[in-house]
Amino acid sequence: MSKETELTSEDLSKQRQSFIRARKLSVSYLAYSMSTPALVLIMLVLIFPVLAVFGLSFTDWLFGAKHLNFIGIKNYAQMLGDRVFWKSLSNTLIYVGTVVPGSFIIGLVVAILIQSSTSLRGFYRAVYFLPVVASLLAMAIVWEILLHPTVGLLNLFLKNIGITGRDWLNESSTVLMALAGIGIWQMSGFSMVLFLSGLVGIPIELYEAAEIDGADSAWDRFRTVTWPMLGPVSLFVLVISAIRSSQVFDTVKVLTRGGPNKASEVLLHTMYTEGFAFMRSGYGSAITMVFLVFILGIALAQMKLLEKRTHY
Amino acid sequence: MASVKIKNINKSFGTVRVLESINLDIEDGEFLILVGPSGCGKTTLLRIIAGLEYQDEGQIIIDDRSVDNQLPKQRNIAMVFQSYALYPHMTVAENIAVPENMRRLNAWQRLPVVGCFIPGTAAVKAEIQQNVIEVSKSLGIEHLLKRKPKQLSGGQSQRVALGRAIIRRPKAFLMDEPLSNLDAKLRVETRAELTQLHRRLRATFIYVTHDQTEALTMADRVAVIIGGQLLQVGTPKEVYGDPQRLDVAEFIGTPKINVLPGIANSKGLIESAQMVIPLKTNLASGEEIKMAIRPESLEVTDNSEEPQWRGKVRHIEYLGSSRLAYIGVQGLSQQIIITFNSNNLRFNINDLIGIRPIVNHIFLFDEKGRRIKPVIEQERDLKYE
Amino acid sequence: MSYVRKLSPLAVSVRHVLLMTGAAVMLIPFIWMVSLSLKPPQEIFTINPSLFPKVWYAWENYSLAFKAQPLLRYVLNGVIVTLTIFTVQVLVAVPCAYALAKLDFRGKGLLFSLVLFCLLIPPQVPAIPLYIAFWKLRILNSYAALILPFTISVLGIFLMRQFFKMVPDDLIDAARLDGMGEFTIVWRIMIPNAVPALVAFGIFSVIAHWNDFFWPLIAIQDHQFMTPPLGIMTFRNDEAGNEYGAIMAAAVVICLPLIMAFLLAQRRFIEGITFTGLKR
Repeated sequence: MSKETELTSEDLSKQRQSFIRARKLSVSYLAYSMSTPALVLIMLVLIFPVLAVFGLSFTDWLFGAKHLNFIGIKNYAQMLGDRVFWKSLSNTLIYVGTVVPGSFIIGLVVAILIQSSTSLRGFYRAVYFLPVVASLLAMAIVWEILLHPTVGLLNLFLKNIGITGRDWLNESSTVLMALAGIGIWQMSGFSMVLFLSGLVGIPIELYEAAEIDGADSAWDRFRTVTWPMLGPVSLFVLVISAIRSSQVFDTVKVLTRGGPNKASEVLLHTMYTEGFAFMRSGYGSAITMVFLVFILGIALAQMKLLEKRTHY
Repeated sequence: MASVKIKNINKSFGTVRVLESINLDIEDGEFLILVGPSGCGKTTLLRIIAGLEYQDEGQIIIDDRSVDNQLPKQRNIAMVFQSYALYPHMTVAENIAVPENMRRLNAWQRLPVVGCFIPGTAAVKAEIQQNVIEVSKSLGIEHLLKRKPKQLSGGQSQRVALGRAIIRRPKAFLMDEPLSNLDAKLRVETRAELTQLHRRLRATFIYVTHDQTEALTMADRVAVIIGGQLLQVGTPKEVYGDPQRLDVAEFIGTPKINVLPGIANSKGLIESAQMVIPLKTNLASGEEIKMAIRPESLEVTDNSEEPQWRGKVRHIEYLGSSRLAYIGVQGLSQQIIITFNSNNLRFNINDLIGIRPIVNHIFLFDEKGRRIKPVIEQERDLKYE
Repeated sequence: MSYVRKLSPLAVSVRHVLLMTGAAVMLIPFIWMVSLSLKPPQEIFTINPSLFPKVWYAWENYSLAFKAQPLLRYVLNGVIVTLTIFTVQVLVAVPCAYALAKLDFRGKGLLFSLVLFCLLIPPQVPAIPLYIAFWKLRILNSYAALILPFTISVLGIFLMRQFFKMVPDDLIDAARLDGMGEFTIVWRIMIPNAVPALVAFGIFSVIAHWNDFFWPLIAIQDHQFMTPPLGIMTFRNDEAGNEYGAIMAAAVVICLPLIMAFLLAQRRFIEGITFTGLKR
């Protein structure tokens, strides 16, 4: 090869390298321009506020006050010594611990029942999903009447079968469970719909193979095919319902205001009370941080523990 | 229509070398098929020509102009993808019209409602519509114009993909395994149609497939790419009848060519499985080579004729017009496959028969897989003694 | 296709009995809500209630509901706020989802990890700082306060990205070869092929923001900006539980739009939600 040709092929190579670089750059710029609005909003509306909450939780700021002092972990210390906080935390745990399994099981059973035959599927799907669509607040007010000790339908029904109903929403021993009941009522439809989609995705051949292998009673089919195949969906349902039920607020604010005697006090309600009723932004932020950690903890714990079991 | 020159293309993905020093000149109007085993090389080369991938080294020259700095849409080539890549939410007519819409209408004219009000749009749109109808007529799909892709069969989808390519009147057509999604019978029919289409359009077709039958039946020239290297380019006859590399000989032709070990003896002739083949070479005594012979190039000998290989018929396959026999020969580790016509010969499994290769049809390869040409002094040399 | 075996008549009946019982429990609150909205006070607070009102009190209840507060305005606010939020969410999320799904750029992994992380942040956590910021900007008690915090939907970005990833690369290559630029590709190829994802996104967004109570409670004082749930609660607090019939009437009015939409588009609704979330 002559010297000239060698130079040319080097030049060509350089030229093309710079073209490729220019192309990659222009794709990058394009991608940046497409994602910048989202990134900016994420920063402004999610990340900075979370950082601000973190920062505020170490201050004693009252809303509108002129001065702000850093008080280290005093807010957290106060929280740890506050009976109300602990009640709130434990109530939230009990609530989540009741609503998640409740809506999980009901959602699963209903989904399986619906899929087991074709009649009235659309009707049942719609009816069970309706509570998810309706405003929880409005329905809470309806539940208030339904749970009324004397004129509420529940107690009237119980009276008919010989049980004396309690004042569900006003007795500290029953109020949390009553709210959990409303929570289960509202969330089962959501779990049901997710399970329905999971069931539809199970290949028929698996059931046919099970039948041939002799596993053909309903329970056997459930154990060998349905339940294992619903693994990923189940995990998803658990995580989502745990997160959503931890955010319980509407029913508490409207029906019980945390009472009687903090028997139905929950984390988000405590955060609201401290941060917006008492305007104690610093302390409220500390509670918010606990709330955040609570939810992250539940979600990540579930994913870690159960991820192993759902992989196949 | 244009020529396409591929100069010294090299491409690696990470540490894997996918294309190595590919040099190929494709002529204007030629039907060239890139064939080779399934793997990344051929399709990658096609995508490099299209501009969808970038080569590490080398140039692509279309119509005597280097296109390396041009975007795919600027290179004026059309591509038919293996999956056809039809826009699922558009009708057939809309699918075929897309390249024309993109080229001839600017962004304002393409706006859904407002575009119609811009002067001149209606006329251009009508022209495009006319083109779409003409193209679809030429492919026999004008009755499908209002359908959506999911309502089409495999063969119909393929024609729509072709239509979308044809309407652009590109410099070259690139096709990535267009027949692989069709069932066997449809594939045979479509092969003939594609060849006729090529003749009608007089266009440059660059076609990728792993099916060597397609390559042999359709191409003007075949380029065999194995392991990222271009091993041979030639007409189907050349590639089949005069393979320059052992890999090429093994890949092209079905059933697969028989490959036997051989050794040069003291006279420079080749010995294989104790039979002396009257092929003279310049090899030193004791050098090992590989001998390849196609199943149709072996004759069944009378038991008395020598030399021959004696072996037992292990298996017979019935192909309709001919048969294949698998012969286990003493001294050879693999079975030899021969084709034979049932009219002339009758034998059954476990029969003992004698076979020997037709000398003119033997290919010799060195240990690197390169073809060795035997020294032929006289016609007489090629007969068995 | 799901596996359906032939059930014995007994099994079919049992299934219906079980499902119907559950359905009744699900529906009773709704039926009762409507029923109460038609009854006079004495029939509401009675230990002998009947399904149908003995005295037809609908006119009184509903007209009080509309007169005592700007009920229609609340519904209108609901519509304005949810539609605006969703529109902005789509405009912001879709291009970002496309970039994450189909383009190569530095920081792509980081951005996606950020999106995933934000999925775990409950919407109430930023409340205190956002309230402070809006107060300083003097935009509390306005549509801006209701809309701005929700203009970004990381769930939307996630859903759309999952869906966009399912669009074959071949299709996009063909579009590029045909001359489409990247924004054109998003508009003409990705969106039409991602309609179920958009529907799911829309459903999540509209339901969540129509029914949102926490943030409007904090950010809004004036009746004219109240969203439906906030409106109902204010009404109930004002009435101190006296005019329950009217409160129920108001409840019916604010639940109705979403329920009607749901019943009309039921299949799409449910398909939309389930279709995307689980395809990895």
